[in-house]
Formats: sequence, structure tokens, C-alpha cells
Amino acid sequence: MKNSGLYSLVVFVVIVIFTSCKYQDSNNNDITKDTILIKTIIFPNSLLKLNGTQFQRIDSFISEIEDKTKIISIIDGNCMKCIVNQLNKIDSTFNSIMPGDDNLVIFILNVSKEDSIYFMRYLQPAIKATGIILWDNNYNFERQNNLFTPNVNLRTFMINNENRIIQYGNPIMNPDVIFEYQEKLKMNISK
Amino acid sequence: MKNVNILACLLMLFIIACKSNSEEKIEKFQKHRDKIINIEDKIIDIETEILFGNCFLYIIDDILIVAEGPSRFDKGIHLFDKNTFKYITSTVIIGKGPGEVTSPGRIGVDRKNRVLWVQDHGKKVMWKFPLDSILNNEMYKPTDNIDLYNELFIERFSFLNDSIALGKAVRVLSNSSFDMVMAKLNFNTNITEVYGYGHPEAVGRKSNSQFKLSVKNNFYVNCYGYCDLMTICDLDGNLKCNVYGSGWLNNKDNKNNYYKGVDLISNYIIASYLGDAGMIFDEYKRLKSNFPSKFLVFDIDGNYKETIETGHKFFCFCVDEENNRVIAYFDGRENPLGYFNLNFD
Repeated sequence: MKNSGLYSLVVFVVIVIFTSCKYQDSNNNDITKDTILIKTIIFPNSLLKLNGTQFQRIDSFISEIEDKTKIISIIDGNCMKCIVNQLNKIDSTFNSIMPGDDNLVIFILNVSKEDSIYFMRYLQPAIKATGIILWDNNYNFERQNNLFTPNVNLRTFMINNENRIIQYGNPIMNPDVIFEYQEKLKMNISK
Repeated sequence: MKNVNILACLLMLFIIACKSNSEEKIEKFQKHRDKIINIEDKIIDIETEILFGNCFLYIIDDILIVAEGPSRFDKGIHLFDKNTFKYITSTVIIGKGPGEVTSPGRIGVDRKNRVLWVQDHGKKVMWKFPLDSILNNEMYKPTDNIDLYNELFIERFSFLNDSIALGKAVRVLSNSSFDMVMAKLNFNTNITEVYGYGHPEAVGRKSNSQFKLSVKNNFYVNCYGYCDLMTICDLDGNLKCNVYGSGWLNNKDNKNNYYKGVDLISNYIIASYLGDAGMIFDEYKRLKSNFPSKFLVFDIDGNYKETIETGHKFFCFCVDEENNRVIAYFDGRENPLGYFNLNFD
């Protein structure tokens, strides 16, 4: 009887450990290739629109872009290479396949408060992109959308007019993906 | 006859024992470096008049030199009083014009002649900055320089005498590859030659090491970044000893980093040591460099003495021998610059 009590206790402890491990695992919110395509994107109000050297609130901008297909690329604005080799190149690559004004390229530009003066002084002048730049000083866009990922390829994606992700991939890292974006754009126009 | 055989056997045993003993002195394996001294609460913040980013630190006379990597300001080097940490001036004007430095690299400090040699990887030269000229003219632009040659150029070095510097040189192997070798630079002729011992396993990327020289104690030391190895040589370039840590040969993919910096104080070698992955993901899943938080202390024969754990990751450090302290640039502290005192004899 004593042994069976001990046995029950051991089984109970094992179950608790097992379920707590499982719980911890489900808390791992890293985005993956499998989970990114079910996400719906929101734009936090804390973002600011960077227009040249001016900052604007994004409220009216959000309502303007509501029904449009959007390509979003998350860029870390902490080095010249990020601006020249990522932001500018991604912008010109996507511009080459954009058929009309109903589609937008939006860059989420991560710049910390500490680095903002340096950025505006040295890096902002290097921006040649025509896409919309939304300034994020604390990873708010990625935090609110649960988009943190070590996979840089998942930081560029397309969302439809309902803000659902329908395509992902960085054409600078994987040039073939540009054709998939082009295909999705055509499909959205024909709808 | 029997006695002769016994004598021969004894002689052979004696020779083998002597040989093994001398090899032990040259090849030192240190698996347990566990004498840890925690000084986390003994770090004293240094509040500076100006802000700067990741930097390398040097000391010349009573001056602490802060050399920023990619400079965030118009000037790349800032000078502070090493005793009071009062800001003195800044120099090395960043730019492409005459006497301006396009892409500053490491500095060579000629303490005897009070000269800083500042590498410019944009113009491929090493500029001569006399300390008095810097202190007298905040807009000083150097006119003297020596060329950095494409094939082999010294990158981190110390002066052996007025004209000769020893250090690690970059040897360009192709458009996309290089290794680092010990080299000797003659400042009078600007000829750089490969010099002294190189460990046979520390080749390619693993050849990258931090260098320090002691003329007083007649040796130089190389602490390697991608293998758990420290080599100590005499000033003729002959090996005195190889010191291996527990990570020796465990780093085939070069993902781990070991030594990040080295300096000397009295009769000790003090080296910053990571012993972990060189790149890690931060809380935002961004890849970032991993920095050490501890120092390993050795005597000048490479014998392990102690580990100093600072509890904070730091980018670089230098030793202020006169004040018996270590000044470091920390990563993640509110005041990045700080120091702690040493209690070496």
C-alpha cells in the first residue's frame, strides 16, 4: 500500500514535469516558415512615418492603406550596409514588379532611441528608397505581431488587403522569390 | 655484460624522462582554471564629458586614449587624463581630404617618442601623430605617413626600439582570404618581414591573435581568438611555451571565441577570455557579438594564477600599470567606461 502511494506520487510528479515542459514549449513564440502564413498584421500606433527628415503620426496613413496589398520589410537601421544593401536594394527590386499605385512597399525601420541622432546624421541621407518608412524605436511592430525570428528571410513579406501574410522571403537573399511575389500581385489584381 | 645492459637501460630512461620534462615546460595544458575572484561590486564607473561607442583603449604617459572603431563624430580618437578621467581633446579628423583619416584602424603607441601611429585602411597608410602636436592643436592634421602594403601589413604591434616594431600582420592570400602572421616592421625602410614562431595548428582563420610585447621581460605573447591557445616567445621569435586551455581543438567550426585581448602588468599577463560562442542571438533574435566578462591571469611563464570575473561583458580593456588598475569599456552598463583595482605585487 505504501509502495503504491509512492508510485502514484512519482507518476504525478512526472506528469507535472511533462506538462510544464510542454507549456514552456508552447510559449516559444518564434515565428517559423510554417507559422508565418497564418498571421494577420497590425500596425502599432507607436510607429512614426519618416518623411525625409520629418516624423509624422501614422493614424491617417493607416486608414489610407487599409485596402491595399502591401509588401513589408523589417530593416535594422544601425549600419550603412543595412541602408544601402538592404533598404535601398529591396525597394528598387520590389518597385520593378509593382504594377500600380494600389500596392505599397513599407519598411519598418528599427532604430533605438540611443542611435537615433547618429542615424539621422549619417545614415538617413543614404536612404534612396521611394517606399514608406515607418520608424520603430523599440521593436514594437515585431513585438505586437509576434514576429521575432533569427531567420532574416522571414523579415520580408507581403500582406493582402485584409492584412494577412500571403508571401514571405527576401529577394536580396533569395532572388527567385521575386517571381512568387509577382505572381501573388497578379492574382490580387485579378481578384 | 649484464651490468652494461642495466646501465644502458637506465641511461635511456633518464634521457626519455628529461625529454618529457622539457616538453611539459613548453607545452602546457591547463584544464582547470578555477581560482575565481569576483570583482563585480568593485567596478568603479567613469563618467566622461563626451559619449563614444565601442572603442579600443591605450595608455601613453598620463593619457588614456579612446580610439573609436567606426567613429560617431568628426574625430576618431579622444584623449582623457588617465588619473582623473578629465577630457583633454579629440583628434584624427575623419574625412577624405589631405591629412584626414578615411577609415581608422588600430593604433601603434610609441611611448618613448610620444607618437601615435594611426592606421588608415581607406588610404592604406599609417599616419604619424606626435602627441605634442595633438595637444597643441585640436585641428592637427598629420603630414607624415608610411604606406600599408597590400600583400603584408602590420596591424597590431608594439615597439621593440626606435625603429623596429613587432606584431601581428595581415597577409593577404586572395581577394577574399587572409591570415595573420607574426611580423617585424622597420619604420625607417618600411619593410615588413614574417618573424618568429607560429603554432602549426593556428593557421587560416585560427591565426588571428591578440599581441603584446614586454621589452623589460624579453618576451611577447599571442592570445588566439579561435583556438584556446596562448603562445609566449622570446624577442628573437623563439618559442618559450604554448599554453592550452580546455577548449583546445574543440572549435573546428570556429563558432567559439577564446581570447579577445591581452595586456601586461608587472610580471603578469592579463587576458580577456570568452570560451563560448562568438555570436549569439539577443532578446530580439538579432545576431550580436558575444563579449567576455572575465580575465585570466598568468605569470610570464604562462602558469595560470587566477580568473577575475567582472560580472559584466566588456568590449576592450587596457592596463594602467602606474595606478595598478584595469580600465574597460563595458557592454550593457549605464556608464560603459569603468575600472577596477588590481592587487598584484
